[in-house]
Amino acid sequence: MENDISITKDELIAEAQKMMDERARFSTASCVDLGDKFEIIYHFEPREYPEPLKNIRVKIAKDDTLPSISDVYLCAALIENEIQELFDVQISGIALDFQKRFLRSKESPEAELLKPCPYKPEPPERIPVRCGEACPAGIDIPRYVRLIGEGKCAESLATIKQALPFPGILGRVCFAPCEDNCRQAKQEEPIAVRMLKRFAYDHATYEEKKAAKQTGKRVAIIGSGPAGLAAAYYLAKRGHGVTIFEALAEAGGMMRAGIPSYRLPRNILDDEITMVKNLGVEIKTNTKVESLDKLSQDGYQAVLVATGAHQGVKMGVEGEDHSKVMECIDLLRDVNFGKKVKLGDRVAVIGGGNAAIDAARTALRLGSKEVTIFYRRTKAEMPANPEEVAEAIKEGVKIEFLAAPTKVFGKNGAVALENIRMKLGEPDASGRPRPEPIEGSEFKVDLDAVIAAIGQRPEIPGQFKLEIGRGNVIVANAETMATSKADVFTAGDVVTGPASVVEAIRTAKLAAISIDKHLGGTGVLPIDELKVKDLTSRRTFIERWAEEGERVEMPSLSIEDRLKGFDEVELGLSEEMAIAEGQRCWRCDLEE
Amino acid sequence: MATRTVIPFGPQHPVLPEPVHLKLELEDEKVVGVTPIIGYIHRGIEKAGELNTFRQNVHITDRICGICSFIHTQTYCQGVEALMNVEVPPRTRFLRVFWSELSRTHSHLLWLGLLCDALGFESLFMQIWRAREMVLDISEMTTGHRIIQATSVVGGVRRDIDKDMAKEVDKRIVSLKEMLDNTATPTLLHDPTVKRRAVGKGVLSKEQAEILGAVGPTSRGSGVAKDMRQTGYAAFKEVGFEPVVETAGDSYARTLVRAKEVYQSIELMRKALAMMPGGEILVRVDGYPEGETISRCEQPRGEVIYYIKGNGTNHLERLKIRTPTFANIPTYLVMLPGCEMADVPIITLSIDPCIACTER
Repeated sequence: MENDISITKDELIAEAQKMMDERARFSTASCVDLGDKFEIIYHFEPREYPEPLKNIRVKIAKDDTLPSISDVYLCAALIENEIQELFDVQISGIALDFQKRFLRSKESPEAELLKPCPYKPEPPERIPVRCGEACPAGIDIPRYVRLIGEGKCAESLATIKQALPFPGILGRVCFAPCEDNCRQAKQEEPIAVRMLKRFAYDHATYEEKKAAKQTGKRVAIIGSGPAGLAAAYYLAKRGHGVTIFEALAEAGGMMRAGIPSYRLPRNILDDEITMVKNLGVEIKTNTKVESLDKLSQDGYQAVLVATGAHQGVKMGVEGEDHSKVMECIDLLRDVNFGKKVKLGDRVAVIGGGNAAIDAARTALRLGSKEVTIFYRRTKAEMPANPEEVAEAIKEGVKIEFLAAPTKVFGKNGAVALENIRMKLGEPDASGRPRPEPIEGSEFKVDLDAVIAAIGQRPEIPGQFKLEIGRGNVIVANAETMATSKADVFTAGDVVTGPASVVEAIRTAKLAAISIDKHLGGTGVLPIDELKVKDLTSRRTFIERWAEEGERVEMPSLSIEDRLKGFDEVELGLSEEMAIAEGQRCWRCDLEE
Repeated sequence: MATRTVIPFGPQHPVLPEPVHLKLELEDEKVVGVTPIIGYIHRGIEKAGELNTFRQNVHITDRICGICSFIHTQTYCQGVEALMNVEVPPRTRFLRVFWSELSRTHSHLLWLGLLCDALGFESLFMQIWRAREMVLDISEMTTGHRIIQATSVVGGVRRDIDKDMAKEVDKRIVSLKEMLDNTATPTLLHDPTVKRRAVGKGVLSKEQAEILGAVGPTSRGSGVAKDMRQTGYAAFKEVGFEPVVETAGDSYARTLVRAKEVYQSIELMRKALAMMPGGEILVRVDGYPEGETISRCEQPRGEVIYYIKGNGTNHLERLKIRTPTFANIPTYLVMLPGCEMADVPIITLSIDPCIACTER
C-alpha cells in the first residue's frame, strides 16, 4: 500500500509520538496473522484531509510483547485491547491514561491534553407563579418566602419592600389572594404567606433611603388612607414635596377608622405612617379639602384624590331611620377614635362582608352578650374572609344564613327586626345565586341595636367637579389613574369601590407613576436596590415528597382575653414556625 | 460531602437499542468518571470473512449493521474492486450514491426518533418514524428489501432503477421532505424541550475530537470538517458535496448535524437520480483478489475503514473492519465526566452508538 513505513517494535512509541506531533488522527490498527509472526498495522490519518491513510507496520514474534501506544493516543487502547483478546498478541501497558496526561482526575490533576468538559449547571430560571401574579401589589412572594425559610428576615423584608411600602400593615390585614392561588393548596395546604410577611416585619428592620435630591414639585394628596400614604411614599422618595390632607383627626384613613385594633394594632399603623412622614411627607389632619382649584392656586402641580369609601349603604327597609340602627362604618369609626359607644346586650349585624364581621366582633368587645349576623345567602357565598368568619364564630358570634331584614320597628329605646327567610335561586350578574324571599316566613327578633353593614361607597364632594361613574366612584383611566381633570389623579377605594388595602396600594402605585411622569419624571417607581443572592439549589423532589408539611397555625389570644378589650388577636409566629413554613414552599417559581 | 458511587449504565437500558456497558462513577448526581465496556455481541464477522469466499463476504458485510448495511457492502466491494483493478460502470457509481444516501436518511431518521424517545418526546418520535417509514418504502421499492438492501456486489450493483421508478422515487422523496418540513424539523430546531435536554450536554471540543479520533457527525458537531464523501468516491465527485459542520460540540450540535444531513442526503439522492447516466450496472469480474488495500466510506455514523488483504485465492487472508462507533466510543471519556446522571442517556445516544457494527 502507499504511505507504508515498516518499523521495529522499539521505534513504535517514538513513531506514534511523531504522528501525534504532526497532529495526525489515529484511525485504527489491524492485526494480521502471518503464520510465524504477527503484523500489526497502525493506520493514521494525516492532518491534511482527505489524504490516504499513513500505515505504520510492526512485525513481532508470536511470543513477543508489543508496547502499547495508548499513552500517546488514548483512543488506541480500545483496538489494542481487541487485538489482545482476539489474536492473543501480548501488548504491555494498555491503560486508559497510563501517563496521566489525558484525563484530569484526582489522581492526575496535571493532565494537559484532555480536560473534562466544563461543568456549569444552568442557573434555574425564574418563571411567573400563581401566588405572585395574584398579588395586586406584585410582591415577589416565592423569593421572600424562601428567604424566611433560610432565616434571612432582613433580606425577606427588603424583597417585600420592593413592591409594597407597608409590610407591617399588610402582614396583619391583607386578605392574601396569594394564598388562595397557592399551588400547594392542591396537594396539602397553602403557604401562610401573610403570616410570613408579618414575621419579616416584626423581626427585621428596613432602612428607607430618602430621595437623593428634591425636584421642587409639589403634590397634594387628599386622604391619608393606604392609597394616599402609598402614593406619598413613592412620590416623596422620588423627591417631590408631598402634602397629605386628612379630614379626620388622625392619619390612616380606613385603616384607622375601619379596621379594629385587635386586627391592626395602632402602634404598627403609627410606625408605618411615621416612616412615610420621615421621608418628608407633611400630613395635615383635621383638614377637609373643599375645592381642587384652591389646591392648584396654592401651588400644587398635581392632586391625588384618595378619599376612600366611607359612606354606608342604606339597607332600604322600612323603619331604617330608627335611632338604634347604626351604620357599621360609623360604629367602627367611633370605636376606633375612642368614642364611648354603648350597644346593649342583643345586637344584630346585617350583611356578610368583612365589615360585618368586624362590626360583630367589635360589638362583642364592647360588652354585647348576643351578637347575630343576618346574611341573606349561605356561608359559601359570604364575601368575608373565611378565616375571619371562623374567628368570629369562635368568639361567639352567631350567623343566621338565608335571612334578610324587612322591617325595623320599636319605640322608646327598644328595637325589633323583622326578617324573612330566603332561598337561593338562579345565579345573578355576580355569579352568586340570587336570594329569593320565601312568602310567609317572616320572623321577629327583639334587639338592643342593629348594625347595617351592607356595604360602603365613596362620597365625593360636588365641588371637586370630577366625573362620577356607577357606584359613585370617580371615573379614571385604569392604567394611568388620570381623572377627567388635568393634574388630578385618583387611587384607592374612591376609584375601585370598596376593595382592600393591597388593592388600594396597587392603584396608588399606578397613580404615583402617572404623577411622576406628569411632573416631568421618568415614571419609574423609586425602589431601593435589592441585595439578595438568588439561590441555585432547591430541595430535591424526593426530599419534598418525604415530608408532607402542614400549614403553620397562628398562635392567638384565648377567647376570654380577646373579649376583654381590643388587644391584637394574632400573636405572630415564632422563628422556628416561620422558618419551617418558609421551607415548606415548593418554589414553583424555579424552573430548572 | 459527596460520596462516590459506581452505577452500571447498560448493557440493558431503555435508551440503548444495543448493549454497551458504561461503568459510571458518580459524586452525588454528577458523573466524574466513566469506563465504557463493550464485547457483549461479538459475532466473529472478521473471521467469517476469511472462511467464506470473497464473493460471499458481500452478504456477510451486508449483515454487519442493520441500519447502514448498504454502505458496508459498498465499502467492501469498492475495496475488492480496487484490488482486482475493476472499474465499475458510471451508472453503478450513481446508484451506489443513491442507495448510500437512502441508508443515511434512514439511519439519521431512526436515530432522531430514538433521541426523541429518550427525551420522552413520544409524539415527535412517532412523527420522525413515520417519515422513516417512507424511506423504508423507497428502499423496498428499489431493492426489494426494507432494511438490508443486499444490492451491491463485486463489480457493480444487482438492481437498476428505471425511468418510471426514478420518477416515482423522486416524487416520494419530495413528499418526504415536505413531511419533515411540516413536522419534525421545526420541532427539532425550535422546541425548547429538545433544546433543554441537549444544548450544552456532553460538550466535545474540536481539539478533543481530533485527539480522540472521533468521526462522522460526532466530530462534525465539534467543528471538524471531515467527511469521507469529500474524497469523491463513487459518484460524489460528480454530484458535488460539502460537509455539514456545527461548532458547538454539544449533543444538540450533533443532533443538528444529523438533521441537516437528512436534508443534504435528500438533495444528493435527487441529484444522483437526475444525473445518472445510462449503461451497464454490472461488469464481469474474473480472478481472485491479491494484495492489500484500505477502503473507506462515510457511513451515517462516520468513516468506516475496511482493510482487505487477499492472497490470490478465493478466500481473503484478512478482512479488518473499523466501524465509526468504534472510533467514537473514546469520546465518552470526555463527554460524560462532569455531566448530570440524568443527562447520561442523551449524551450516550448523541454519538449514535451502533454496537452491532462496533463488535462485528
